[in-house]
Amino acid sequence: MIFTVHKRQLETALLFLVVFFLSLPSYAICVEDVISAHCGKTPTSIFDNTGKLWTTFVHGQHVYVSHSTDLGKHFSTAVKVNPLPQKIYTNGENRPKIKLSDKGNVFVSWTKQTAGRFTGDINFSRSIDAGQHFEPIKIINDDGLPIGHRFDAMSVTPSGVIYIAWLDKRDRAAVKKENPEYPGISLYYAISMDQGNTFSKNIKVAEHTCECCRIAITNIGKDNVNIMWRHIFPGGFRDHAIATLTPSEPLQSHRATIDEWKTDACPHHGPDMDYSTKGYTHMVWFSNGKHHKGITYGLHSHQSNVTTQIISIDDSPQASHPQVKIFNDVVWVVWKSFEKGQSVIKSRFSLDNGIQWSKHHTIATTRGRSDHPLLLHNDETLFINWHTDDGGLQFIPLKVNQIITAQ
Amino acid sequence: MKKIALCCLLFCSASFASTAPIKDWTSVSLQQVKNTYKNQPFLLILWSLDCPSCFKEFAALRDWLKQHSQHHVVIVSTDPKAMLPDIRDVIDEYSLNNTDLWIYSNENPVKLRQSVDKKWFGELPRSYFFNNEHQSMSHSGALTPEQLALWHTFLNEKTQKKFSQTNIKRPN
Repeated sequence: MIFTVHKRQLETALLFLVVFFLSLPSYAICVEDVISAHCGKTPTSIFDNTGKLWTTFVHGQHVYVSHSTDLGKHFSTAVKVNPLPQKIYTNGENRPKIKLSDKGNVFVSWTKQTAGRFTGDINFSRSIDAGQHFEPIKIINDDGLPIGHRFDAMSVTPSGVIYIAWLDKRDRAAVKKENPEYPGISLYYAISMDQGNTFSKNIKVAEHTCECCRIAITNIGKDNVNIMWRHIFPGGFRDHAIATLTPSEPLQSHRATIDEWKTDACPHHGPDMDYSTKGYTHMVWFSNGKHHKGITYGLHSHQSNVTTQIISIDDSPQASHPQVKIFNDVVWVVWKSFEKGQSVIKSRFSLDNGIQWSKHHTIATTRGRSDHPLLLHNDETLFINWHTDDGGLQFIPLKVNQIITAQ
Repeated sequence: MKKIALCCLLFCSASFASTAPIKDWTSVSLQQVKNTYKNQPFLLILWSLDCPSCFKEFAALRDWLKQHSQHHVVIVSTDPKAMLPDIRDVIDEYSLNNTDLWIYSNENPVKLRQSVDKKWFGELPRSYFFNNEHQSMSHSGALTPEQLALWHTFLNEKTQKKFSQTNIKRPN
């Protein structure tokens, strides 16, 4: 049988297809050339004070930023941050970061891969026209050495100070010949007091950090931040340290976890934390140590510098990449696990500041590859930012009432 | 003429060395490896490009294999397949082309990890010493020349039934 297709019918069919695809969320039409938060690598998001969602992600050799007013169903056309192509670190532990200022400026940091192995430069760019254009890149590490400067972490304080911290190899490189067994690398930071127009010189926080785990950073007070990282303590224990950074100098650092994980393996698992205004930091971390295995929670006091209320969140070997956030007086922990052939996002919550905890709840699942879960919130709701190959970028609300009702 | 033949031989060896197959590691590959090395001991090593300790281990392994190339070594990269060119560079750099080379397939990486060892937390490098009965002992972190030397000693013993008969121990 021979069909005769008239031009008008063909036009109608094409129009239908266009309307059909435009009505779908953008992850449904991911192909190689589509540049979108749903199709890019390691999308990371934040809400501004009007409720608009801003996301940075990597596509090819560029960092992009786009925004959404409907919780990620549709995103604006992505704006390129680095005009020239770069090799960019894009894995769950080492990914571009995005922060905003009250003035509406958009700040992006990332690690550019440079020639050599485990090498990189900390890159920063800002937009002062509400994300329409990004300014020329600033390299934040100021040593000019072709060595490792990686795993950037960024925060903007309520007073508008931008902090960028990273893991840095300069101290190890300086003593490499006389001390080839120098443990780990170092932690440095820089600040900007003028909305990212200029940055301070680099300031050292600590030597002998683990070199392959993300750094946790959170605001404390008006001008300062807390920082937590995996440290190599005497005896080769890869546990965690915590310090407060001020615009002028780091305050004394303290041991935050005592797991006694003696290893020279790379865990690829950084901690997370959130500061409570009551003088405590809620912490979650991963370890395979003598005292704690899997994911553990603890409450760190800034008066005594001691971590208490330590509880095992999930001690299974599949538990990974935890995040913690206090929101509307509820402490939430989310993490990724693997059960029955699929990746699972799980949560637990505490209504009494981390003393008692709910049981595990499954929040989302996927059979394919997926990113680490990240927590973010607007005025009303706490969300999980989760990217999966199967579903694109999702923003999954976390509500105590819904979880209790579902039980 | 002999010089030309030698050059050809060297060229062919170099070409062969740089094109050793890197196979897809799936959730059944460990069983395949056990079938391949039936009644034979082997060393299984899992690593990734973003793991400084893995490179320290590869340096020790390269030196060990120069002396003991007869031993079976299975090396599995846990990186995404898109990183294959970089993986090939590392394998060439550390002269590991004569080992049994694999890379994680597109299956869920945690599923692949579980298929090797349900008790492994994912830290790298991770090594498993399999004896001829395919009982295994695991180790996290870079293998040292001393540990590799102990493995060689163990392999030279006539009976390899139990690890408890050896000095190979998981470090504290």
